[in-house]
Amino acid sequence: MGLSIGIDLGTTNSVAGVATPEGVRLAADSKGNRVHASVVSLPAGGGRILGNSAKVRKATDPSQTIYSAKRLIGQNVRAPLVQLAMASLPYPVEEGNNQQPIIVVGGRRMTVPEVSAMVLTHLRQLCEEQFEEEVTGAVITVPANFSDSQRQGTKEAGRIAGLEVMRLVNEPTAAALAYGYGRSMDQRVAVFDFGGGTFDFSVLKIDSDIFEVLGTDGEFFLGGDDIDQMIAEFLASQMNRTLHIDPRPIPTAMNRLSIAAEQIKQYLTSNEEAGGTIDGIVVNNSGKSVSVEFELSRDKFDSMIEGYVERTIDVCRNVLASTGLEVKDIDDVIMVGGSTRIPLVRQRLSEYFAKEPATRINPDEVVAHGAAIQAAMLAGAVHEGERGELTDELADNPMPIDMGIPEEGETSQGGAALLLDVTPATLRIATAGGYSEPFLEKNSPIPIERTNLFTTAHANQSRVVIECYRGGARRQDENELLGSLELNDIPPGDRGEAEIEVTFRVDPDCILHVRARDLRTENEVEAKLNVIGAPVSDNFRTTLDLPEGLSEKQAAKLRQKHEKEQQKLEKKAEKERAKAEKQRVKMAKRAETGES
Amino acid sequence: MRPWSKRELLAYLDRIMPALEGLDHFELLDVPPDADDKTIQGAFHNMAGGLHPDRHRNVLSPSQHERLIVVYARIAEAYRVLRSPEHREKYLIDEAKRRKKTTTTVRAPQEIASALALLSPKAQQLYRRAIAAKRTGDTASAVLNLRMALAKHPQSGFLKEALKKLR
Ligand SMILES: Nc1ncnc2c1ncn2[C@@H]1O[C@H](COP(=O)(O)OP(=O)(O)O)[C@@H](O)[C@H]1O
Ligand SMILES: [Mg+2]
Repeated sequence: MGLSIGIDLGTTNSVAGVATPEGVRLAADSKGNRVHASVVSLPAGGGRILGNSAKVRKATDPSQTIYSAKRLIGQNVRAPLVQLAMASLPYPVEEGNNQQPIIVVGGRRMTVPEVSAMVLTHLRQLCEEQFEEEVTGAVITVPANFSDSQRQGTKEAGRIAGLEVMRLVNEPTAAALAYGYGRSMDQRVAVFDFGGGTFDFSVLKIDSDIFEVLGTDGEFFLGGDDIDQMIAEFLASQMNRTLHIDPRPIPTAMNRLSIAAEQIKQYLTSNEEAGGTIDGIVVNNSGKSVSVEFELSRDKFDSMIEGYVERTIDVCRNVLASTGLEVKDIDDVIMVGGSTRIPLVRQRLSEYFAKEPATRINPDEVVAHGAAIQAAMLAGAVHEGERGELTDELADNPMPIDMGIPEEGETSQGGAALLLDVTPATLRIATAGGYSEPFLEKNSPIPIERTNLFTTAHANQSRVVIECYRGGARRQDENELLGSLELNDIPPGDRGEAEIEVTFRVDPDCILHVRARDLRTENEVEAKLNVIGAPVSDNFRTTLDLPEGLSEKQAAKLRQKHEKEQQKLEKKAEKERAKAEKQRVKMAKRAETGES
Repeated sequence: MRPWSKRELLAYLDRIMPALEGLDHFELLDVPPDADDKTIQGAFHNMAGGLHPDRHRNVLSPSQHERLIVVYARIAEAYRVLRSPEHREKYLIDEAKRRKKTTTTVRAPQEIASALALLSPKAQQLYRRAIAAKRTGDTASAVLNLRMALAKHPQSGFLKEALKKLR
């Protein structure tokens, strides 16, 4: 059996590691960095550049350098927020099969999971080199409010990267696990995760070895990227005013400004005042470039981002309210993500919670730590008495990894910690008249299974379509449609006579499966919902990067294995494509007959 | 909380799987009908600690593990309902209606079988002895046997109810 690793697959940065008998170890690149940019660069001349070496190419080779792919994973390209996010990306994104985004670089069309798989492969290889063992399984973290299709996309990415995805764990939950692991505490903690693309907030009860999520919420399009965008807009208007050139319609120019914006933002974290010249702003096809001067004070910056920061505090307020807790009930606040370094964020956070956030946590690495611990626990690979050596800040406060003692010959896992997570959004079922009713409210424990009886809305209705939504609104169209399920051949009868038993099952990865059964005929249909925009690949083929120094025989063997895997994947993709196609036809038909 | 041993777990699955449909939420969580929030949360943590599928991934066969997930998912649903006063009230009303439909006041035989299945074999035996004693009019030993069963399952609403009826 190979290694089971934990991976924090971030919008901006990714971290991977393994829980070993000496503690959690994170994989570093050749320069010693443990945090790796989630960037893939595919230069025109061929080859593939990954991680921190690819990051610098955002400036030098923008149209072939893919970043923030996580913002697109499992999304419908036609969704307004996705359109907005796409507008600021310098690489082209097109609409593919099933309305999923397709990234086009160097004439190559790639699904988003394929791109994310490249990031995962990079991390996997770093781990394999460093820990000198083959990696087979992984726990991958996702934002708590990721939807079904985003989760499926992430799992798909893992599969393409050749990993058995043992579990998707919510990022804030992983952070809490790393924070409280082996500390036998009895505390309520709040996790505030503000990264590059997303914002998540969770409240957990840590009851020695049980980590129970009491409530969670977040915003998907709220992160450091959005702040960069705001500063870039500010720089653009500055340019327009002083040089009378509007860079907004010019992608190369906006890309340059975005990169500068991120630097300015980070500079303002430790300085009161930023100013200088941004040069090399290419403003037309012939490569003409200009420079612009700017000045931005911390105060001005704070007032620019105030709205964003308030939105994060609002989420905290809502989660606390929904769990029936008050600020004073929270024992500790854990900060996660690069954007929590912004002084205004820290200030508002400590004001709101009336306490200083925990400082022993490294906001960049804590999620990967938790993922690595969970991976080891699921694999049953960590044994009693192991200790975790943690990052710099944690080093003087070491976290023991004590897995408990399994009963002899019985349970192979000591498994001293247990994550009890919840659904981040209410799952609903469509009812008559354009309305919906909640079936499993948000913050329901997972895995969970609920069954309820429904009936037909009309007499002699021979078919019902069970539409499933995600969100908090009664009106169907104010929620996100997850997909639908169709039950046919219902025997004729009066309105309300049919008895349709509907079961929602949410699996441990927080993915919904729906089942419907006609109690009179015993007809049953079951489906993982087919989501519009979900990744159904048109091209699963990945190239095989062979490690150097292999004998011809070894290489041939690897190639053969790879080819087999590829064929399997293609077959599967073909099946899924056919299924999705069928589903669409059905849904269209329903619109024609106008049944509800 | 120590995870259950494989033996305990398999015995539990064998008992509970056939009875799953007939069990109410209180029985699934193993709490009395008047349990408060704290008791409910404690019971859920206890059960999760013992039988959560993540804790038994590597000792069970895939099909056993699947069954465990099904049972756990039902327990989670019981927890979701019982911890919320609103859901709990609605559930009690629905449940009362359902009961009325099947039989009046007395439990349906299938429900008794389900509730019994939850108990350990020893407690089941004690319960049967109590019922037999009651039939012969020996209330004292019926009570004694029920008490002994209750000592094994102090939270069992089913046994408490039976004891109350006997008196
Ligand atoms: N010193 C800093 N000041 C302000 N923002 C920062 C700082 N360091 C990093 N960030 C921002 O944090 C974000 C990345 O955070 P990270 O937690 O790595 O994101 P993700 O998990 O989404 O990949 C980026 O937007 C980056 O600009
Ligand atoms: Mg992150």
